[in-house]
Amino acid sequence: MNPSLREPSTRHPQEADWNRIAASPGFQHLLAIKKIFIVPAFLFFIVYYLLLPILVGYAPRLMSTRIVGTVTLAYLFALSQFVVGWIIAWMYLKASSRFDKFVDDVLEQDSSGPEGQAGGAG
Amino acid sequence: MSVSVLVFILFVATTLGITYWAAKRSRGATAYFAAGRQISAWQNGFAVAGDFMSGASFLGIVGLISLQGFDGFLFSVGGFIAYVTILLLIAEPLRNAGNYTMGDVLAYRLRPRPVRAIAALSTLTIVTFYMIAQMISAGALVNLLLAGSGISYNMAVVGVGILMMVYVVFGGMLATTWVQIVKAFLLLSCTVVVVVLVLAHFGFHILNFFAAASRVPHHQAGQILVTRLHEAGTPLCST
Repeated sequence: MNPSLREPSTRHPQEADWNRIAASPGFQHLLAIKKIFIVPAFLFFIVYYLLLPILVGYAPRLMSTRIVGTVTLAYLFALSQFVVGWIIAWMYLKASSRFDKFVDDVLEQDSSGPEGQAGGAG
Repeated sequence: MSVSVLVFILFVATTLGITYWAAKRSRGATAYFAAGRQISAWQNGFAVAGDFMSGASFLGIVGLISLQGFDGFLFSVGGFIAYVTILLLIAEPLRNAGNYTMGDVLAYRLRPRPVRAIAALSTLTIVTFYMIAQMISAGALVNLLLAGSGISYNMAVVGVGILMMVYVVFGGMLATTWVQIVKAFLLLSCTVVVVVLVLAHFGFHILNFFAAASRVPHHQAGQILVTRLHEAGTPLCST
């Protein structure tokens, strides 16, 4: 089944469930894996975007350099934001299917434990 | 009846048909708020794209670019960037929480009452200002599209507002998603047609297009647009 169509759990876990899963090595591993991708991707993207208004504002001469015909560097840089956005979205798509696999692992490990599958419908 | 009136009536009839179909299918909170979680990633992507290509962005940003040049273009980049931020930081935790709204997620771990009050307040503040821009552009567009049919600007704004509420209140997420998908495909195909026509005008050479745009003196660009619209008999604001 397509993981994006998976129904998220609707049962409300108790505080003990939170703490147990949060402390499990599988969950710590999941968080570490996610951080390795999301933190650099977001930082790169926010810096790349903020460069656009900053350069346009503080280096207008550089940004009005004509590159091809009458097309300026500012226009090409602004257009490249869309391309970079698409690339990051595509990379996230690849990475997030890996995250989903780790989520399944964490849930499977937890449900095989003694307190697994506790709690009623939320 | 002119072609534009026919197209308009066809679009309203189609979207109301989708709403009726969705209202009959929709049972329970998950069906209403999350379309039963049966919307695929591609469908949702087109729906979100249709959402973004609204009156404010589709007409507003085009207008901003024609009036302000690069500054208007810069504005449109900001809107796009916000989606990547949502994708990287908000989308997955929100989905994993298994709730329906941002307020639900925040209330899950924090004290519910103040969190919900603030979430409602911030949502209403944003929606109020956003909707004013949307309603004005929708009203102006309907007024322009149905010019000569006796529908005033004020009637157009109220009519569009009622239509929006019918889609959401009766159809829930399933109807709004499919209405947005239909809208996204219509707008994307219209954009392709307009782009091809504009490029054809400049001999399919994008540099000629940029050169022609740069020959218009900046301070005159807005004036030219206003004059042309005036000559075409387009009402620019409510009168």
